[in-house]
Amino acid sequence: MKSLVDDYYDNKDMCPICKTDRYLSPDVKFLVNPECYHKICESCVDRIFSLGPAQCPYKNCDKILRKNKFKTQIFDDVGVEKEVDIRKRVFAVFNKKLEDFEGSLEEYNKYLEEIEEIVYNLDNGIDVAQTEEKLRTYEELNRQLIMTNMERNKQDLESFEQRQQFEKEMRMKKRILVRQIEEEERMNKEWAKKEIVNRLSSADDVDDVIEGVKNTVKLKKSSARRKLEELNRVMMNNPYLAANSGGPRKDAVPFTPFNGDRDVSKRYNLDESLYSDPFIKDLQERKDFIASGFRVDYVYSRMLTEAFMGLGCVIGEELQTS
Amino acid sequence: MTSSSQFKQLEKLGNGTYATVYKGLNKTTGVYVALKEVKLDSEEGTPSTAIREISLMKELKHENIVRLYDVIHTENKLTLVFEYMDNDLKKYMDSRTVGNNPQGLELSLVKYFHWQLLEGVSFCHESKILHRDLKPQNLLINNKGQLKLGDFGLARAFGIPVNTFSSEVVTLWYRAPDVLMGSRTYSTSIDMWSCGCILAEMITGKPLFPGTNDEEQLKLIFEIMGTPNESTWSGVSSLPKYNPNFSQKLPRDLRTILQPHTKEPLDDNLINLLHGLLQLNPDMRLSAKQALHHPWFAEYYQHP
Amino acid sequence: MTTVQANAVNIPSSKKGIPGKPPNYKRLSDDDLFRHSSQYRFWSFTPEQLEQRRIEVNAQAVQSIEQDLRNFIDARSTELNEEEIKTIENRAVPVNMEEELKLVNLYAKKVQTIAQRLNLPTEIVATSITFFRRFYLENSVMKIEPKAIVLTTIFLACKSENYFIGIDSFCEKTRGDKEQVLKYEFPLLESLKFSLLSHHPYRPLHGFFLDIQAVLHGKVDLSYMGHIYDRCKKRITDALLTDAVYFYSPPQITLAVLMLEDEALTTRYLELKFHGNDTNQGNAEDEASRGNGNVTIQLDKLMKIVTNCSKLIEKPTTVPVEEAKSIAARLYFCQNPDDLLKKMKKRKADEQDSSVPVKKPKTE
Repeated sequence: MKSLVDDYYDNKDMCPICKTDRYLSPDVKFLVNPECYHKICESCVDRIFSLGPAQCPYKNCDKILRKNKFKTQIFDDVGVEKEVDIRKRVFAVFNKKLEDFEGSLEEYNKYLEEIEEIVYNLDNGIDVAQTEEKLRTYEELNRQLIMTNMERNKQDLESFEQRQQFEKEMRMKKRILVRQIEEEERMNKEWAKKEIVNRLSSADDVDDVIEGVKNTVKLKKSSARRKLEELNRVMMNNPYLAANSGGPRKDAVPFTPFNGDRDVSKRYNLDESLYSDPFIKDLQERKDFIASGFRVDYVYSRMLTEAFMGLGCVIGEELQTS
Repeated sequence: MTSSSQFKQLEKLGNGTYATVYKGLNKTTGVYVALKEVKLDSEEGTPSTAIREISLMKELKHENIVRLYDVIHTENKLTLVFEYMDNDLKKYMDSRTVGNNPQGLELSLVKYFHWQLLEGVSFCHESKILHRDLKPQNLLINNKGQLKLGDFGLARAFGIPVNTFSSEVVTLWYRAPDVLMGSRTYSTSIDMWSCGCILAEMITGKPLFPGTNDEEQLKLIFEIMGTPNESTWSGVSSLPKYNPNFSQKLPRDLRTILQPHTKEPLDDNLINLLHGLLQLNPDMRLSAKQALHHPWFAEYYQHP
Repeated sequence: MTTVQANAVNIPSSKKGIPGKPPNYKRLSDDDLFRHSSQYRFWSFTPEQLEQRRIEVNAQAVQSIEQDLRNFIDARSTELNEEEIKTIENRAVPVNMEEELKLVNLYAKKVQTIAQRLNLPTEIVATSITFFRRFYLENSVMKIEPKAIVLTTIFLACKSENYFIGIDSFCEKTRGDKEQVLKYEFPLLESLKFSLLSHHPYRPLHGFFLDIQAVLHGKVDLSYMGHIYDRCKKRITDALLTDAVYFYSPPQITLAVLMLEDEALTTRYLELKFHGNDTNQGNAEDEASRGNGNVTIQLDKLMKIVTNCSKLIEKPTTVPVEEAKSIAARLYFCQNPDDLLKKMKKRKADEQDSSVPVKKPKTE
């Protein structure tokens, strides 16, 4: 961005107009105007532009600047600052989402490409007038759509919590059903066992009997299982959940009176399918345990938490000072 | 070690599960304390309830849990020196009764108290400790609006997985249905049921399920929350005191039950939270952590 | 009841709206949770701190024992002859810090044996040992003799772990004296600073048992895992008899035990688990992360801790019986100089009485 600024004045900490410098006046604040991004100190801005629009005081700059457009520079690099501003401006107008293209990824990518070109042109001063015209025309033609999209983006944010609630309910329902199915299957198995014994006492072909009973069990597809399948279908087709697949949002941090909350990151990944723990597997089968809310994943996570609780405490070092 | 002469014993505050509690004044610092006196004349030495309370309180340093400052031993008694609190939730609610009509608390206060209750419970559970006797009498409050869990006489650390506990825990009105039906392998969910009962009681000023014996207690619960069966609560019929002849009730809407007893309108979030805490099936009950993240508390949240 | 007034409860104004972020808001890591425990706060030391503590406890007791002996001699200066005074000075020598430790170790082992004979659950055996050893970080064996405390620690451990045994049946099973057991209960509680909840390495062992299966999935034989699990449990109990419990956290001790049991497996697991986390990833980051409780474990640092811990665990704490007996005898004579003199007289008499020397009394 050298070209924008006269080399002589390219001093990060000094106002090129009044020569106030940060060394002597630590409170000096620099502002830029998106018209040309020339850095000017706050008091110069007040002095020069208070009476109305005026020309940029930089040598060889003929931009007319307005006071209310001046802002604090956020990025050290003027180039970055400029690009961010441009992006903000362009995105406010081009605010469509993937779903606005009826799922056509190709169309959406074309749209994004277009945005990038506009940003690139404005940022690098290529066909500026033409590009600005393009932006203005688009805004003019799509005013209604842009407003609607803005409203929608706001709502998206709000519906997040509702969505979570919905998901939780679904998961709860699912768990009940899974339990029910397990229960029914266990009963079926028991029934089959008894039935085989019963029938064997009065039949001659052993294999036939066993096959017959097994088939009956297969036909007894439980209503719970049908419900679960239905539920899975609903969840697959639900727009709520589909929209959420982009990854969970960062959770809000609740206020806690003891100035802290538990760290959410873990030193382990819980994966029940990888553990073989005969003792706990046995308990998992017991009905009275199930009824009391015994959850095998709680047990595993408790054990694993304790395995890593204090693993990083280097007592010898930590207590050295105290 | 502090000596007992350092404290001046003032009026009696009440009776704990195994001791008498007095207000006390620390003569050197001028700070009020609660003195819990445990008689040692028992055959067995220090009562195990006291041992339990001392041992657990030593691990629990939290803003919503009453602090144990010290333990003093004199020839025939043990004195536990606790942080002093102005009042307990039970007495506070009683004091607001108008004539014979109990009054609920303002919902903003209910929310603030309940939030603190859940914070304290969450910390206990995180530290692998069950309180097992949550009720308004054991929730101590002060006039700054702070609420702290007290009386850990029935509390215990929980291991896993097969501790079998006594089912003679928690004051009847706040006892979970699984415990009432004889479950001895319960866990943190037992405290969550109590939290749900307390929440409803703060709203209306009246206990939600004021039973007089185990059977009546279950009956009262089922009348409002519905009678459980194998499909709503897997394994329920295997609990020792499950009775297949429980009279069959359908769950009722908590809003229609609670709303007539309070002036402020009860919003959906609050009703939803109550339902989450008062799930009959312990597996479905919200955990303390989950309850703290419930939308009803959205206003307490901040964004990082 | 003066306190039961309808005093209004004010909600702090900040709670009516959105509360501000606490000024020193901090997330608690798993490590912080351990740092909160009384085990870390009261019963974790650097080796220097631990030694200092033992030296102090010993020095205090030595001082008071020597004072007692001087008083004993002064009080009887007229009756005692020179030989007797000399005997006292030579034989009633207070035990030093190392000797105290040997006695404590010997009796800690005894606590283990008795607790196991009572068929107590592993965790309670562990708590009994822990209580006993902690008690002698606050007290000297010269003040309260170990024999007297052994049963009380087991009795209290049962109580605090919710494994209630009535005093009568306890004494019956242990052939203990009821009054004696109860007499030391409060001194024990007090010396333990009322902190009774201990974290033992058994649950971490269970956790690592699961995590090893996940990290080395398909590469470990399950029946072999079950086999080393049982052996590690035994090793943990032995480790509780060493000073490792004061210098290392329970998971670190667990890993050390696993390392002793199967070095190749444990090393492989740790390398797979924590590879890529090493110290040269920049110190600034390390400093910053310590504050907000990060989860990263540095492999090289952990390996060093585990190796050092296993060395300590491996060192035998057993004491030769003869040596322990002679320490115990000196201890007894320090506390009962009278008996020492009686014994001396008796031996002299024996020597004079018969020309045939009788079996030598075993006090050396």
